[in-house]
Order: sequence, then C-alpha cells, then structure tokens
Amino acid sequence: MIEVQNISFSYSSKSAPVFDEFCLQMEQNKVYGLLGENGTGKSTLLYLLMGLLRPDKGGILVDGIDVSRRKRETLQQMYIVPEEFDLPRMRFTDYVETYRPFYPAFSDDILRRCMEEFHLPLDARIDQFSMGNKKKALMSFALATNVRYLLMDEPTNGLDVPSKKQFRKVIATTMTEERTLIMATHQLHDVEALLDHVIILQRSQLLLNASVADLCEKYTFDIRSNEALTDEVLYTERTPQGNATLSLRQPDDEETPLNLELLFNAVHQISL
Amino acid sequence: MNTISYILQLWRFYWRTEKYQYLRLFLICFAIFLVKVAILDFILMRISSVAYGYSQYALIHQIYWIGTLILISYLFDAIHHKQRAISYLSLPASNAEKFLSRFIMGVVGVPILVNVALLAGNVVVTLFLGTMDTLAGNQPEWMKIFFYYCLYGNLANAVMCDTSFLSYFIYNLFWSYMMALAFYSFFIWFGIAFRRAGWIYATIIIFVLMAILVFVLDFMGLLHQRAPLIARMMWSYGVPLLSIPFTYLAYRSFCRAQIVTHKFVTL
Repeated sequence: MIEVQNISFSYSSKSAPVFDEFCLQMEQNKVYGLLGENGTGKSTLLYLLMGLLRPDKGGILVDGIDVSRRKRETLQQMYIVPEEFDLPRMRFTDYVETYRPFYPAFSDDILRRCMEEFHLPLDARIDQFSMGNKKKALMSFALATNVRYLLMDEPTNGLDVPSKKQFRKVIATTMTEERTLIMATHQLHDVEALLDHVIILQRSQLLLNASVADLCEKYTFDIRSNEALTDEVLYTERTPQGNATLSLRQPDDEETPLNLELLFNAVHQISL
Repeated sequence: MNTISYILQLWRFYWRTEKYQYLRLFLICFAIFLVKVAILDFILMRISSVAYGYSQYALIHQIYWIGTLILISYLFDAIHHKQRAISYLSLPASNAEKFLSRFIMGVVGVPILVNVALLAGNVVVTLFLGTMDTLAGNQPEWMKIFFYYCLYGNLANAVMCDTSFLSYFIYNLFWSYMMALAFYSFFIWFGIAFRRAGWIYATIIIFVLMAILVFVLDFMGLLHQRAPLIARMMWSYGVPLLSIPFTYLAYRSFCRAQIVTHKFVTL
C-alpha cells in the first residue's frame, strides 16, 4: 500500500507549491489512472512516490517504509518508466543482463512475451531503436521486473495506433494480484479500458479519487438527443453524434462503460 | 545479497554502462601529459632552465589535482541530469551502497587511472625521446618513475623520518595517501553537492577554500619555525582527519540528492 501523508512540495522556495498538505492512499492490485491538466503535478507525484523527489513536509510510505530513504528493499519493489529517458549504448540483451540482477523477481518469460507482442527483436541495439520502440522495450523490461509497484509517466506517448493496442494487451496479460500500476497520462482513451481507479488532480488538490466500479455504479455515460436531456443529467457536451452526457444512474438504468474524457471535463466544471 | 556483493554488482553495472567514458578519460589524461611534455620540454626549457624546473613542477601538480577534481566530481555526474538521475537513483541499491561504490572509485580508482595515464605518457616519452622525465631525486633510478607520478611527495615531506629506505617508502606513501584522501573526499563532496548549485557557487567556494589553505600554510610555516614537532603533528594528522567531515558531508548530500537540479541540497 502507498500512503501519501500530508505532503507539501515545491520546486523552489520562490515558486508556488505543487502540493500543499496533500493526502492519498493507493491499494494493492489496482490500476490507477493519474489524470490532470498540464502542470498539475502528475509527474511530480510519480517522482515523489518513487523517492526521486523529497517532500518539503509530510512523508510517503510504501508498505510502511519511508520511500525518501531509498532503501534497497523498497526500490526492488518499484520501477518507473519516465516519459523521457536515456538508454545506454548497448544491445537489449546486454541491457537486460546489466539491470536484471537488481530485481530478484525478474521473469525472462514475461520479457520474451512482451517483446514478442511488441514485435521487437531481443538482440537489437536499443540506442538505435525509434523513440516508440525504446519505450516499448523499456516497458517490457519494467513488466518483467515483476515489481509490486509499477509507475508509468505518459506510457502511450510516442506509440503508434497498433502499439497502443499491443500496450493494452500486454498490461492486461501481465497484471497480477500482487501488482499496482500507476499511470500518469493525457491520453485518456488509450488507458480507460485498463483502469480500476481514477485520480484527477487540479492545482495540487484531488479533484476526483474514485474507483471505476463506483463511478459506473453512480453515473451513466451515454449519447442523448436534446429532448432526452432530463434533470438527472449533470454534464453534457455537444458532439457530432449528439449530446455526450454524464448523468446520475437511475435504478433501472443499465451500467454504461466509463467515458474518461467526459468525466475529466465534467469534474472540471461541476462537483461530483 | 550482502552489501559487499551489492557493491561488486554496482561496479559491474558501472563498467557495463560507463566503460567508454572511463576509456575516454584515460586517453584525455594521457594526451594532456603528452601536450605538457611538448610545451614544457621543448619550448620552456629553451627559454629558462629555472623557469622550466619550476613550471614543470607546478604544472604537473596542477594537472594532477585539477584532473582528479574533474574525474572524481564526474563520478556523480548522473545525479545532475534528470533522465540519468531517474535511472540511477531508482536503481535498487541503498544510498550507502551507491555512495560507497562511487567513493571507492573516487579515492582508489581515479588516482590509479590518472597515475597510470601519466605513467603511460611518461613511458611513451621515454621510449621516443630517450629521456626520463622525473623530478624525484632520492630514489633508485628504476623507481623514479613511480615516485614522480605518485605526486604525493611534496605533501609527505612533513612526515619524513630517518629510517631505512623501505620503511621510508611505505611510511611516505601511506601518509601522503592519507593526506591526499582529504582532497579526494572534498572532491567527492564537491561533485555531489556543488554542481547542482552551479559552477558560480562552486568557484566562489573553491576560492574561499584556497584562501583559507594559503592562510593555513603560512601559519604552518610560522609554526614550523617555532615549534616544528607540533607543526609536523598537526600537518600529519590534521589533514587526513579532514577527510572525515568531507566524507560525511558528501554522503549526506548524496542521500538528499533529487532529480531536480535547481534545488539546492540542504544538509
């Protein structure tokens, strides 16, 4: 479990705080979507969770251990795939040989399956990969580490359309009961089918922190004509297909799939 | 795995990911020596033998200490670049293991690298020019080359004692290395902490420290005239002891290192 306890953080004493008395809890075996506009602190929160930044006040506990101490046992259970990264000049097999000894639960089988799914050769030079392929190779390695907490910053940025589909398949097939996946992203459609829990940040505050199951139980996401815009509609957006609406779910309404973009826009306009 | 095997693991990791940088640094040291020989031995010597002798002595020491400063501070270069810092700081090893593995590289590996590079340069010069470039005078001919490039001789003068040659050699080398350790640990601290505050701060701090050092040396000179034993003891034990606070500051700075480079490290 990850516990963010009243943290305050700013990048310098002169700049506005990114987080001020911020609290959050994340449980095991869930896929979290960390959403928010630019500059709301999604990446910063990932770095704080990883111990790469230190809160000015408060603390972050991962399985009860202060993550800012960067203990070996804690880091062996965490891996971050940053949005931008440098890979050393070597073959991917050498990269794996270099880094895998640090991860006791590393799985060759998962690595092979992920690389096959992404159609990437194992013995190619990673520094000669395209940006998208570098990201896919790093995500394959990240999944193969079998860490308990996997953090991804904009995982689908730079991936083409088939790769995004492969990414969703790879994530779905490698999630285990032990693992927690936290994805910070702007690409809402790319990840909405994967998420168990949605966290939306705005100006260092939590705008929404709810499970997808709860959201789908409480709300209906559908397209309606102008005549069907009744009182239970909480938020609506005009689209070419009609009015995309978020409304309170009535007892006899069927459950609808989550429309993450509509939800994201709605929570910025109204209080849910 | 215990701490020692983890440090060995980290060294394997550094070698696999940074070996080309080490090779490049070795070649730079080697090239600097050749340039130094070309400038001093063939130009300055023809102008003035006195100036040549002084400049050769001063320059080789400057090359050595500036070289070690740059190389040792370079060991922690990864934590000053966001993307590399993410990869390095999130690598599963404790702060102590990461620091200790780099510290040993700094206080043992870098001096060996620089000495071997300068030695290699001297061997090349000797082979091609037929002259041994050395300032050492008290050692057997075959050992001059090693003595000269240990470059601790001037630091160790204060602890010279009237013993047999072998014990003098070991004693001299031990104490001179202990004194050099204070400089190496300072360079490590410098490499971790001050680059994130920018070179302006670092330069100011270096100048202040140099001014303090000059003051201390003057004071030691005066003390040596009046109380040579006390001066010798202070120099012999005081300088090596400085490595303890510098190492502590370096470790604390490393533990608090973050991936942002514009946030000054608070101890």
